[in-house]
Amino acid sequence: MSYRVFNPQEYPLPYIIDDVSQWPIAKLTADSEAFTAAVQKAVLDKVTHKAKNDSSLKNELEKVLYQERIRLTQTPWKADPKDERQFWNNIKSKIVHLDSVNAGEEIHTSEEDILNEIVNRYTQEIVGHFDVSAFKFAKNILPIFFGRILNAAPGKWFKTLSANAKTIHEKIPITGDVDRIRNLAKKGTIIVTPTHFSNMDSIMVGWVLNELGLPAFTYGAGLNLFSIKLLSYFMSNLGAYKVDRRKKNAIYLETLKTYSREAIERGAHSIFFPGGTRSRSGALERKLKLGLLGTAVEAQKNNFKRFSDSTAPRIYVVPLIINYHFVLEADSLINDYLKETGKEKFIRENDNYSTSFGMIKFIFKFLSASSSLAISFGTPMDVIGNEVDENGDSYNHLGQYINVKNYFMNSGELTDDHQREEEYTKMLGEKIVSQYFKHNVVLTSHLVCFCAFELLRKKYNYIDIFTLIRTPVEDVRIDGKELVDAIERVKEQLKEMNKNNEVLISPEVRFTNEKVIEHGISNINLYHANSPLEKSSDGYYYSEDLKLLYYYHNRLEGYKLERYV
Amino acid sequence: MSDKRTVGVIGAGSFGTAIANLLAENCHVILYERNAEVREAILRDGRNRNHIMHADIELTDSLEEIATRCFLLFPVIPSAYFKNMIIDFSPYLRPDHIMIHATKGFHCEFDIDTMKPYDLKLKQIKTMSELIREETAIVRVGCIAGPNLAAELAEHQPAATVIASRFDEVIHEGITSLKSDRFQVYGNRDLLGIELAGVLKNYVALASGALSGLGYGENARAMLITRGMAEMIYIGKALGADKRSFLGMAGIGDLIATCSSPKSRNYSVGYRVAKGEKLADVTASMNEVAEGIRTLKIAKLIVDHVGANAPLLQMMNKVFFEDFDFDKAIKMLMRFPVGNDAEYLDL
Repeated sequence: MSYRVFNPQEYPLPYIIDDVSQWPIAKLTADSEAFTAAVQKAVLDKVTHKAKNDSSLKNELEKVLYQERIRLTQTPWKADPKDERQFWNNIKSKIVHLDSVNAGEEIHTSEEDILNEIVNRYTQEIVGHFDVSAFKFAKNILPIFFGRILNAAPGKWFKTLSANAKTIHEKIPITGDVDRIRNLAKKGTIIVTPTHFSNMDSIMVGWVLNELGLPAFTYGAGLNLFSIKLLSYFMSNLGAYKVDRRKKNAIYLETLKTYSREAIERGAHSIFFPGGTRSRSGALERKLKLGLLGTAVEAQKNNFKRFSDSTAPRIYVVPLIINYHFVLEADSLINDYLKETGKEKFIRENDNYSTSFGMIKFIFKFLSASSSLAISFGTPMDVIGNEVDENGDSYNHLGQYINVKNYFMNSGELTDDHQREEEYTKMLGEKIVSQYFKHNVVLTSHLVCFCAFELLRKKYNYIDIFTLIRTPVEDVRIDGKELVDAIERVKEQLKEMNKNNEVLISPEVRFTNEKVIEHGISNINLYHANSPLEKSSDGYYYSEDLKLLYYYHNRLEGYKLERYV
Repeated sequence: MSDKRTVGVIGAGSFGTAIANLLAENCHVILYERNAEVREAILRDGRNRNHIMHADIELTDSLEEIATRCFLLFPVIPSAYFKNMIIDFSPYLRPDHIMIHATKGFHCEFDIDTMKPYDLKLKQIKTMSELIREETAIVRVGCIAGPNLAAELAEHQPAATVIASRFDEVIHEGITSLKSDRFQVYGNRDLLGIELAGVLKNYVALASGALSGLGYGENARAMLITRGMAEMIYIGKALGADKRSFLGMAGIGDLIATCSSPKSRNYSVGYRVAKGEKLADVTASMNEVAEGIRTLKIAKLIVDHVGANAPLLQMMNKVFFEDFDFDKAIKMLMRFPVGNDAEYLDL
């Protein structure tokens, strides 16, 4: 991997397009009416076409109504519009009225009209805006805001780590081929696919992309977050669109996907969190949600359809891995995981922060406490998963030049084939996952927690993990020497894997084993009241919260490192 | 030349010729054969072995030509030579090619005779579709497998097969180009399962030939086929395949055909060895490869590596490569403790 590495002082890089009003997302907003109209028309076409093949359209509408009425009674949110119930009652009476068609009325609402009304409401709810002046305001105000936090809270922690407080760029090193990503953003549309561990992720991703000098990205933000006023102001004006995870009906999902696809086709750089929600276990995502990812594949095909070969806009996928020494929500995430809830059945409106004040407190804790985290960009790919060079050309795993259009061709013709695109999306998903593992930066805290927990697992191999986690903490001790030895072995293996481009490791991991432990423990304990791992005065290690130790250990799961502990 | 679409077949062996003839009923076929003598003989005689060549088949010795003129390609090459062919082919192949192979064998990245199960990495054993994906730019791959004895296809007898692929498009292309009044074509999305069914049945066919060679009758063969299929399901499941694939045309269907017919190469190898001929002499006397011998060794490595239950496979390895006595082997298999009937359906 040879690419230019930027010094922390060089950030933020100049914008690749100076004039903010010329950014794709600003143009999308300027053209908002035509854009939403196109989304609506595409959804209508697709749903009516599908209804013709499968069941009747009326059937489909009744299903949606049924699901929406359940949502209204079971999970009402503050963010819901006031007239929500009224709207659906109205739809209900219209659907009921459809039956009177048989009575020979001449003027009536058709199924298509009702569908149109629903899709229109969904589109209006989802649509995001990008406001140039709000962006400029945010750009000027946020560094002051973050700077305040950084300077206000150098506190005791930083003094133990370094003589001087660090700047934000020193605290958050960025690795990856930044030049190539900037080039590709000029040539085509970028889809960034980050890992998802924390609510901080969207803020971190937005920040890092801005540091790279890329135009603002659009992304789907949970509707519940829009009830936080401060956050809502920034998100609604900086290109975020709204995603309501409670709505699982086919028409809503189709609208959402169409929105994303149209935005990509219109050149809006987008962020997808392909894991769907934050990783509950703390492990790198291995199973991705392919719905939104599929819209990138479809958009690429449509671009080939609309333009001749050489001018068809290309779509590039860039995985992004965000590594935290600690995750603020670790406790609630791992509890969710252990209860095996929180994924599908029940979506909380209130997470760790649900007010503007709570959110600021959250960010404050995060920025003031974190000593270092690592942000790592994967290799840019086309929508099939081939590597893309700085000119935007695709090369497959054999180094053969690839014309991406050929993936969508059959016997010399560009053809629509949904199932084919689904398979391509799966292939792309697999490539993203393998990049997550390759470009994951192992931090000392991950390494220490991994080794400590695996030692416990070996020691107590007669009980299962869940029993182990519930064992009274005072009964669980780890021998200091054993931990050092385990770290030595895993470290050597990690270095070997690093040479083979299988994983990245932070510079601190190369410290002596004792220093690795010290660095890891001090970082992870910056935030948690009950330490996941602590050293006793007599040289033993113990944990005040085994669940958390397990959570942080999971970050290195999937590399088959257990064998070396 | 007709206005039918042009498709390519790579390999003019017995089965390759049969496939080319089936395709020629719907398509114009370009048949690749690198051996000049074979090409000349086909041109001169209008036939290849016992196959009378369809008029809509032309011959070529150029992989480049076949890649340029065809989008749909059918390689039918013994597994041992498949990799060399595909590497030669690769520079001409693009993502808009669709490749459906008909090779019932594994590719190995190691020497089969010296590899030890504990040194084995499963990744080193590949199906032909995995090999195509690895060595070319093609992603839309599929396979053909089923009870398709080349000799019977040559006589235009009715038969059926399965086209498997993760892509419905590939299945559709395979069906439309191959289906005819004498050839029924089924689709299946479990590519791995169908490939494994086609490969693993080889050693059961060897065993079936051996049973006949020893003079046993149909009760014994029915037992062999049924339990052979159960073993194939156990191995297939361990490798991630769907059990249903083994219950269809490419699984039980192919098993019945190859285990009952002296026309099957694997069957006749088993038969002759059981009659007392040396394995080396038998293989030396055959003009085409019997995949079953390779399959026996490779499947044993897999089974020893993953720990699947396959007593028949173990015994077959003993009698073929360790001079173990056939009668003793059968006795041991008959004493093998068994459980409920059709238990593999619960897997």
